[in-house]
Amino acid sequence: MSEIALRNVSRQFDPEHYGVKDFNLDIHDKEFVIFVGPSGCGKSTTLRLIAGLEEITDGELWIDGQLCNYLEPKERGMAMVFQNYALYPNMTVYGNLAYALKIRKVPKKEIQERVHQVAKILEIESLLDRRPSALSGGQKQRVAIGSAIIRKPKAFLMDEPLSNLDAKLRAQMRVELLKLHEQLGTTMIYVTHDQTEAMTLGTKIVVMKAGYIQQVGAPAKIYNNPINLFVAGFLGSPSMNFFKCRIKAEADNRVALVMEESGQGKKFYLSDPLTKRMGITANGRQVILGIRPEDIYDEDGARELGIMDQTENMEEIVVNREMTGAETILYFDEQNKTHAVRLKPENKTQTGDKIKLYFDMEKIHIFDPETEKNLLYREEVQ
Amino acid sequence: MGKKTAAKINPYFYLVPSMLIFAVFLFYPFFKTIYLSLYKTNKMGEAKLFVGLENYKALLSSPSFHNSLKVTLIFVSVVVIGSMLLGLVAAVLCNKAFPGIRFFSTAYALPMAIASSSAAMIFQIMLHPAVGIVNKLLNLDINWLNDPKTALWCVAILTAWLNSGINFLYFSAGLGNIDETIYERASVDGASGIQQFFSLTLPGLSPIMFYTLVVNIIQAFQSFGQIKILTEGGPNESTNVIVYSIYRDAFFNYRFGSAAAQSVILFLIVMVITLIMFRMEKKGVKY
Repeated sequence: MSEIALRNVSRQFDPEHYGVKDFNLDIHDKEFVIFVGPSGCGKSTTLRLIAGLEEITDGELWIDGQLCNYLEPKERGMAMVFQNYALYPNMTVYGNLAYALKIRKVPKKEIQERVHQVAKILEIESLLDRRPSALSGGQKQRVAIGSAIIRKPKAFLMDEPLSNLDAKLRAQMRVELLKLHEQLGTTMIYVTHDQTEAMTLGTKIVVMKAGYIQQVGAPAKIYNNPINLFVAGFLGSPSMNFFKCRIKAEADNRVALVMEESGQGKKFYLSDPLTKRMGITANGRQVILGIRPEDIYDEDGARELGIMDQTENMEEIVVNREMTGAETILYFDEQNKTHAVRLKPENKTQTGDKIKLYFDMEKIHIFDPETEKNLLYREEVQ
Repeated sequence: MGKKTAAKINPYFYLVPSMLIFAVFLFYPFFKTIYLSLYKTNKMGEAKLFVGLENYKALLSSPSFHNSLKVTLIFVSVVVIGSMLLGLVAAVLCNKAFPGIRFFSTAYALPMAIASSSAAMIFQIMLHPAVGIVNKLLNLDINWLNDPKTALWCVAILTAWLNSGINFLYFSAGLGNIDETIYERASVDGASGIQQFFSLTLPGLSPIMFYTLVVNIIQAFQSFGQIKILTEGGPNESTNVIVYSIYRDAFFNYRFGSAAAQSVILFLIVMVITLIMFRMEKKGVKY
């Protein structure tokens, strides 16, 4: 059992600088919580506050109903995996795994059993006699995780544990971490700046920016229902496309978004329910239209979906083409920015060609350019 | 001369300047000392009568030399342990950032810059039986430098303090090389400060510890200035370390042969200790 609650937690570095501000979060037993955000957003600081490596300057940290603000790290019952692994260089792998147990005066025989047990889970049995300097990155990673799980802690705190690994190993370790989480059933709090890791690992994602929580929720929900422009742009790869548009009331009560600075009358028609949800539809109001690359279609796709009449005059010149095998990603320039479209591999449009594009208007997001809030955000979905 | 032979000989010319310096200041005095140790000399220090190993035999059977060996051993042990402990404690204290750290680091490194003779003068005043601050503070009445029981300890502690400055620098550099995050991991793992010190800091310092130990031992064997000023080998030969005994034999008793023989023995002792330590390092220091 471990319930971790953060109440208005702040970490102030000096009178003007906050690492984290007013952080509120409930972490339930067995959750896999991901703190994600760009560097400097306070995600690592928050993790270190929970571990007890940084001092909480304001607010309360509760672990299993106990106020933990002033507890030493060792009294909090957490285990942490560091970005650079932090293996003890003077000890063998065995010594590294056994250290936390040894200082707790666990009987030697039991230590031996548990080390071998953990080594077996992580497939590092053959490395037990080696020193960290003789290990590869992936092996060090396993040892670091091993020395965390050997203690059966209340929660695992992981600070970008995969960021020093190469892409292939990272994908592999991701799968293993998920398996491990299932096996151990322990709460995990995981910090990353990699949104793919966040999406694939987490049961709950906490998106942070500049010390503040932006949005908390399940990965799919955050992906489909971002609260603001930042969250929308941060999750997803290639990231969401944004277009500056103006609302225009058309004949027969239709409402359209007209692309600015395009001059060709690129226009997207809103459905009635969408118009209602958006609320303010003042004629001439400026908004930002957000749409993910996979929600833009070529002619064939649009015909299939029956969404051809929702987009007008959206013709673009392809500036780059990426063929990944399972899909084709085309890039085009609009409003001085490059945007991406994710299409089926059958699309043969080449760089320099023109292509007609169609937006799936049920999947769009509309943002207020001033507050950057999502005007279509649905509270009840969270 | 062919090009090939020129290419072969050329590199050696580059060695000439340093070899010349070594020859004048190291090799010549070294071999001259060995040469002198086999002779009886006149008062000008010129070798006059070849006596073979007679000087060595006389030394090894002399109670005064035995005493010198014993005193040196105690002196070196106290100095090495004391100076390394002082340097280590100071370096560990200064390893954390806190206000005034610069002042403290400078203070701890300062002994390095103090001449041993001036430090000795200050200690002489501090240890003065009538006006010295040590007796005043401790409310004692001990004639520190004239009591055979305390004199050796006084010079040894002074020397330890003098040598601690450079050790502070070595250890500070060594501590800087230890990855900060392993301490964070250890504190989350549940290790106390003392456990962290013994299981992480000390092993982390072991490579530099060895080097520091060798340098300290050699340095301690060669201490002279502070002994000359504070005790002149006395009282009752209780601070008559080998280096001071060499000085006395050569420049007071004009027995250059015997002094040279003592130098050779001192050289052998230091060399053997250093060799043993290098042998041990290969087995002991793992990193």
